[in-house]
Amino acid sequence: MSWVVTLKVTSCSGGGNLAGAAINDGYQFFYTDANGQFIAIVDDAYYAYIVQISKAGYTPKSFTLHNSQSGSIQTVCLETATPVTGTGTGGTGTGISCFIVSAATGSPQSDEVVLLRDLRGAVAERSAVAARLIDGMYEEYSSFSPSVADWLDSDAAARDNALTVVVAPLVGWYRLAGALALDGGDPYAAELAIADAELACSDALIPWDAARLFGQLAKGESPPADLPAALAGLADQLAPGADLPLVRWAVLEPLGRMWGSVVRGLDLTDEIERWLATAPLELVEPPGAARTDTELRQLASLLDFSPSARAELARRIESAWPDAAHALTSSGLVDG
Amino acid sequence: VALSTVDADAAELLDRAGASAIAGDIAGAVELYRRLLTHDPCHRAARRNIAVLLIRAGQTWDSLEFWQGLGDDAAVGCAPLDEAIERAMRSGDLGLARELASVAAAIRYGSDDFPPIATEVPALPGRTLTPEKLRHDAEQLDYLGIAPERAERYRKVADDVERTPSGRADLERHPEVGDEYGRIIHVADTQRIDVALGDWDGALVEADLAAGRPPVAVIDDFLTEPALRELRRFCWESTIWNVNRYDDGRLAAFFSSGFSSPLLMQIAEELQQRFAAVLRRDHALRQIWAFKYPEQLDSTRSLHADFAGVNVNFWITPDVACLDPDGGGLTVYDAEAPADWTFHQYNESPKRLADYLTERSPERLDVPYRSNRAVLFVANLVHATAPLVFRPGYRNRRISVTMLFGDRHDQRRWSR
Repeated sequence: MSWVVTLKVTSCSGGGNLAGAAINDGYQFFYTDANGQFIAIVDDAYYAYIVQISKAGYTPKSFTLHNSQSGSIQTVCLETATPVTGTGTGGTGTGISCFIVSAATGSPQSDEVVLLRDLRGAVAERSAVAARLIDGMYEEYSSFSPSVADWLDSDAAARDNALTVVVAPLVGWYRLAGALALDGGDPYAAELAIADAELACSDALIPWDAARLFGQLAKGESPPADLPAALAGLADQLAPGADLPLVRWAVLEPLGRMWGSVVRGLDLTDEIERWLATAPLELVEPPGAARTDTELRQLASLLDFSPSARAELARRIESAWPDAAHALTSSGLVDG
Repeated sequence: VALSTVDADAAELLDRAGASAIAGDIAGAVELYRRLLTHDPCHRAARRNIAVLLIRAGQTWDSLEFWQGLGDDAAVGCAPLDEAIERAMRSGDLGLARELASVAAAIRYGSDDFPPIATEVPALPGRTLTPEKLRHDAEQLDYLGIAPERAERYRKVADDVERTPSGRADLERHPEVGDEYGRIIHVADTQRIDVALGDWDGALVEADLAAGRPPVAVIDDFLTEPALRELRRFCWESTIWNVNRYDDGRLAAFFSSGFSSPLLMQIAEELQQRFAAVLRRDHALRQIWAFKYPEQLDSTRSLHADFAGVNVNFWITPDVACLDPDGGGLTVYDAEAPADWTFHQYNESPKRLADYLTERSPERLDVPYRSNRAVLFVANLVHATAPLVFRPGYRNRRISVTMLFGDRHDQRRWSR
């Protein structure tokens, strides 16, 4: 025998029904229907059942189903998530969900989400400038990614495509970037990361189209019109990101470079060096006078592995932050 | 120095080929990959890229030799091709999946007549003769109106094999059967039609699934008449029934062994559209197959569960063939195979499953056979073909089609 409870999930602000909210019992995911409802049929072996309710753009909430509620409708409202904005203090951004990666992997605690979150935290701890860049990127990202996550929730094939074409290569890219920037002296870590990154793209059937798609989006252009069906839906969803400069640099350009490298047999380390050298620091608030030397020194330490990226970034800082130019040599960004 | 030059050339060719493909110049990319292969015939990436690009360009059969070059042994299977089929299915690109599956079928079961291009006919070691397949094939040749002498040979050898202790024999021991045995010699052309699924409400069926105990839904008039007619023609005419490993006499045709057509892809796509809350949201297509049955079958030998999340099973043989109006269909037990059982344990061990059911005494649902009836259920539920008695005759053979969606560990998403 079983007991049955109807769970109705609404928005705390406004009370609207939340369709497609994920209900996780720790074993698998269920989703609310178009009316925001989910019928929980629980085996008599349980007198209570705890579930986690989540939806992109909202703060997750736990709820306990109890057999005394059998036959009733239980309403649970979710609060709108408040994106954490940049403070530039390092280690920020952890309060913002990786909406797309969570939706594609099926969990906000998946290995991929955790890896990106940890990497984000580690980079932000090392450099206040990088932390502000990350915060700014996530602010842009959170403006369009919840709707992408909702779309992924509704379509198994779309999730699979996102995993193959976006998540796996992006995780591979950032794993390698992390190995180079954070473990610069460890060639073994970099080698492992390169192998992982290449593996992430190894069985794709549409690598050329992916390279073309992300190459165009990274340049702020519209997606190609003649993409195969498996990519067309994803292209429509990600196209708004092409208007967001930090998203372009942090998400679309790595994907374009990653797929381009795979297809053309290019050196991934070279690609990451070129990418880091183009970090859009001009979009980030410059450090105050008292912290200029410290913050540039922190930034330089992330680029120990690449003199060329360091030099290019220094040239761009000189132009974007003229007041910081005096510290380029003392910080190590320019070789003395 | 010479080696370095070759390597440099290879890297440049790979770069230029990739750049051409990114720019949409498929012919140019293929040419450059070919040149790379002349430098390095073992360059697997170049070989695979040519194969995929040719299929993308609509030159499916031209890709065959490149897939063959990637494979190991046709009898074992072409692993890179199988991986590509799975990838295409999971990504929802069923058109590409079908093209790839056709190539796989040609590699595994090709003949002088299939594929429709001049190509080297694969050696197919290990073909097994069974009386059921020999008789089926003889009936099919009669039905197609071709090769009467071959049909006669098959019947004679079927009688001989039936008299052996094991009831089966290796082809090598009966060369008189001929090399066409166990190969695809004809595939009926069944294209997409206006609408493949009948006029029934997918949302109501989904509600039945969610509330049912066991979670099973039955749909009558599953396909439109044109779709049913075309699918029957495909099954009756196509010589794709080459999997005869089952000791109960069933013959199977799997997606990558010939059971693929534009119409089948259309049915799968329409199912995902019709079941937006169950299939499209949570479950990609994973496998398609069909069985042809002997006139009679003992159900206890077919107890099993499947590897997927949702099983859509439907029957297409005309009702007049079924001699038991209360039987001949499917029995589904309200018991799922334990999650930690291996594929062999839950799919290929009917005795183990029978013991499991005896311990649990679950409720069961018997769905009688009806032509154009579909049964949807959690694929991990233990189920079996019901005992069946069908009329003799080629077109009276019971044909069931199965489409599997999603992963086994996701199977209860919608049922609790």
